[in-house]
Amino acid sequence: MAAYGRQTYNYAYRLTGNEADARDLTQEAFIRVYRAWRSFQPGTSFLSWIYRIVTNLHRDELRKRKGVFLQELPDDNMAHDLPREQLEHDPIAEIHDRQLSSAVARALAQLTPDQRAVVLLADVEDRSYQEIADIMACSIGTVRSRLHRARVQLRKLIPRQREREKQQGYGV
Amino acid sequence: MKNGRASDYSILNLIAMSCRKIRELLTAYQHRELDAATDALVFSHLGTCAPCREELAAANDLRETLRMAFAPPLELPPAVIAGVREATRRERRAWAADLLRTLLRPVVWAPTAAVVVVAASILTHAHPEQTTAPLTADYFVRQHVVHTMSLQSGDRTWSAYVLTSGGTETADATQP
Repeated sequence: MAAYGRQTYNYAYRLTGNEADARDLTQEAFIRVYRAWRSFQPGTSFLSWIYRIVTNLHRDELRKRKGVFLQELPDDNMAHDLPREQLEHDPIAEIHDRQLSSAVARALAQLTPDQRAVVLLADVEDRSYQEIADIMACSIGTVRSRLHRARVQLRKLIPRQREREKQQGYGV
Repeated sequence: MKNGRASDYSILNLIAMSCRKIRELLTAYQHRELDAATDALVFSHLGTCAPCREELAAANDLRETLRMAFAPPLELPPAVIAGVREATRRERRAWAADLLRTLLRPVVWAPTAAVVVVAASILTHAHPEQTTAPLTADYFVRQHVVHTMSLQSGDRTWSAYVLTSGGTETADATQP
């Protein structure tokens, strides 16, 4: 935990956008590691393993909070195809709205959990596509397409959130 | 090829590639995830296409914005470590209690006890000559006599025998 705790906590913070949830997520992830220690395969990346646990826990938590199974966006559903209401009144984003002030964090909160995880792993954590595919349990092609779509959305959402914050009178 | 992955685009396709196709590859180009041939062709396209260069600059800006939003990294709060330790300690205790409860069930301990008794009985009867003598005063005196007799001979041996017989009787006589 001494070796990987800080990295895991920061990844959890980036996913959740607030420290309280990041603490819970990190704690729960390490408890799962303790329980499933025997299922860890030597020779594989421990960090990828624990990131996968954090990603899955975060996804489960968001589903629970939303109350229904979270529907993934279909791969061909680009940001500009989404109804404006869906982009601006996402229940997940509303949960984050209570805790975040950063335009970037608000924009990230409007992505699907998988898109958010992919963007954070590629752009902030500097993980390779292969590592991301291992963490997300998907193919490299899926990583590429999720990343591309997520970035297209972020380039629309971040300026919009900045504009919104400017109107509401608090800075980024 | 890069990282052992096959090229996604043949060279002929890339030569005829439009700006739209190049922009789809920019994210992977930025992350250095394209194979060498595709990477070189995107690079050469960027050298001649200003709008695609602007697109790459915007992608770099986005990446920088994301990094800055979460800098600097946070320290792991001690409460998390304490929470994990406490939870794992609780789980260990619960596991030990479960194990004890399982062992104390008659279904488990009765057959185990029966096996132990039977095994002990078999071992005892298999080597009856190895049964140990009771550790009484008489036993120690007799051992002493045997030892003395094996070392010495003559009158002293006989005296020791007499002494043993008399000693035992004397010892018995002193008993209330």
